[in-house]
Amino acid sequence: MSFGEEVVRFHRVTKTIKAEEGERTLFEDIELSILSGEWVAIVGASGAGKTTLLSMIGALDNRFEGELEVLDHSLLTLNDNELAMLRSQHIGFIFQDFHLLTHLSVLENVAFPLWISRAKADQTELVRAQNVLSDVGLASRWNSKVTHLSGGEQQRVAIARALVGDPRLIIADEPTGNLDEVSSECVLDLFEALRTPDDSGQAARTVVVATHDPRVAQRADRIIKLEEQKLVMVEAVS
Amino acid sequence: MRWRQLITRDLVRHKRQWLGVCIAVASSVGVTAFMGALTAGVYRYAIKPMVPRLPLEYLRVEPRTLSIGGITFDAGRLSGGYGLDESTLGEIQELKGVAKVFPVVGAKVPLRAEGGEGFLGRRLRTDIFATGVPPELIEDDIADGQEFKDNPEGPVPVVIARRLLELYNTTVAPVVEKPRLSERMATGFMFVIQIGRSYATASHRTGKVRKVQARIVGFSDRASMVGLTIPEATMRRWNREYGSASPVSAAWVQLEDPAYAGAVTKRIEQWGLRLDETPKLMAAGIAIAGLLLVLCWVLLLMLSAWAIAQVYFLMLAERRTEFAVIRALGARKWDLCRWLLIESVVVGTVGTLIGLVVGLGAAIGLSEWLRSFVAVLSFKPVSLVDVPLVLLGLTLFLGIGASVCGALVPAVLTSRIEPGSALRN
Ligand SMILES: Nc1ncnc2c1ncn2[C@@H]1O[C@H](COP(=O)(O)OP(=O)(O)O)[C@@H](O)[C@H]1O
Ligand SMILES: [Mg+2]
Repeated sequence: MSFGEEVVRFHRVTKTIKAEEGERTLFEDIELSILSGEWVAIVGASGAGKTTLLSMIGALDNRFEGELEVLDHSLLTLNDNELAMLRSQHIGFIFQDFHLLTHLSVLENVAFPLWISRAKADQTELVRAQNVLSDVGLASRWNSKVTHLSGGEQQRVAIARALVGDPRLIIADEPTGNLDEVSSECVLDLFEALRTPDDSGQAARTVVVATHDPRVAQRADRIIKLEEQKLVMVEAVS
Repeated sequence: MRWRQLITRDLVRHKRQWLGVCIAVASSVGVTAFMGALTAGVYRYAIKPMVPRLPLEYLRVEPRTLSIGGITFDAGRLSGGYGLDESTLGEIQELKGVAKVFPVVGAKVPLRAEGGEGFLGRRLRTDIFATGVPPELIEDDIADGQEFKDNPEGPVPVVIARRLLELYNTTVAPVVEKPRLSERMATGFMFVIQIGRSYATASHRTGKVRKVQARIVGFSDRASMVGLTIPEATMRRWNREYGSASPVSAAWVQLEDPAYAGAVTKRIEQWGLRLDETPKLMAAGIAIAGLLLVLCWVLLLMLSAWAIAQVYFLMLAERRTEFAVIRALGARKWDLCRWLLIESVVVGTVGTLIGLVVGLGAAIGLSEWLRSFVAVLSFKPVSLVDVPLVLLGLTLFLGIGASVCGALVPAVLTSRIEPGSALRN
């Protein structure tokens, strides 16, 4: 895969959710295309549906109408196990609350996605995890308890965990929402760097970030705004 | 991996919650083991020794008697049916499925027994009953080197009901502080029988009283429960000696196969004769008690599974986000489900072992405490606790089963968590 290939394609996608007052349409007939190597920011008011959109792109949710292709798979045709497989092999997740597993060490947290992927278990899992951990600058903390890390450090561990399976698509929901300014900068720098995979010859990674922080959005290649059930292309940043 | 490591970590990390599950399992296993061990113990040491162990291919037939004001009538004959005499025995012999009929001949002379100073420490005199049976009926039960046949010169061979020895061992020996007797120890024991005299009826009218030596030659389940069993020929000889005929008081019917029991019983009952149904009733009672116990266990299993499910629900509710994250990171529903079920097996096993130790300990404690009370009564079983293998197996099955059953619904519901909810908090 090279730059410019279509990684995500929405065609006339409508998402309705059940709310207290009945059915509510979050977005209707949207069209969106995200190319490999792109860094896309999704912005919008709180409650506009950014998280919902991300969970669809991340193959977490395939209950919608229309067509959505992610990494050459039409999501509506995949069953639950196939969606899990797709996530396990090709998609990395970064959460606002980090969501590290507190009973595992830093290194084990990073290796965790490799353990649950049905790939053959081999001894290099921890080595691979250690490499990714040095990429995010936390090599020396590999044996720490995750609860002993600062918020910024925890998010870097989470980024390492998202990267360990060498995914083609990275999904981040408000990744700096719980971080101070310095840590946020550090995380955004990492995003910049992680788009280029470590092994040469491989395709660039695609990053989709939902945020309501304009400074985060400014770092992206492209900003997409969710407004009144529609997607509005705001600008191509660079 | 490393599921094993993940599971270990998870158990350690959430030890408080898993402890809750463990306690729930241990309690129900404890109660089961406690009840089960006591039930088995009471059955083994208190009930079973009382129940005759009759081989299924033997039926005991008695005349149907009617007692009015102390006079006993042969009711079968009164109502126009059959009495129990030689000709009836012949007809029973003709029934399909009957291998052989053995008459039991009653005594028409008063009898007394004397002896026992050897191990009782004092001479015991008592009126006794005796019946005569054909040697073939109990020949299997005669001890090696002993003989069971009429011999006017030597000592009278006597066979005792096996249950009487068991009763002596469980109820008499502990009270008189004598050692329990094995069949081997008691075989060969000599005592004296006085013929023609008893405390109850005074001397026989012919006036002849004589003493003979008697020797215990074996123990049998087909020996009389209310006295001595001697050879049929000896019994007839004594009755003749005192001018009496020899009445048939009962009969043993040996079947070719236990499967004929139903049909033969039916015919014999139609003739107005009575079959000893004690073993049948006992067996039915024990079967019903067993059934009730199993029902109790099933109920307990369901109750504990329910309680365990509650603990699981609480624990898993606390950890919903964590499971959603694991699902988002690529675990399948089944991975999660299996993981939780394996953990429930591990915790169920630990809980079961704890419950077993505590439950059995409590049962032994209670048994000893109770026994310290019943020491003053005539009945003192060796123990009230028994742990047969089947109880151990059933309890393990119950404990681990309850843990897994209790985990099943919560695990399935948890595994159905929407992976997308990892993105929301
Ligand atoms: N599974 C759901 N059930 C009910 N309501 C939901 C569900 N998911 C999202 N919503 C609602 O949809 C709206 C959009 O949510 P979300 O996608 O989280 O928006 P954002 O991330 O932009 O704040 C919110 O009002 C939220 O309450
Ligand atoms: Mg959101």
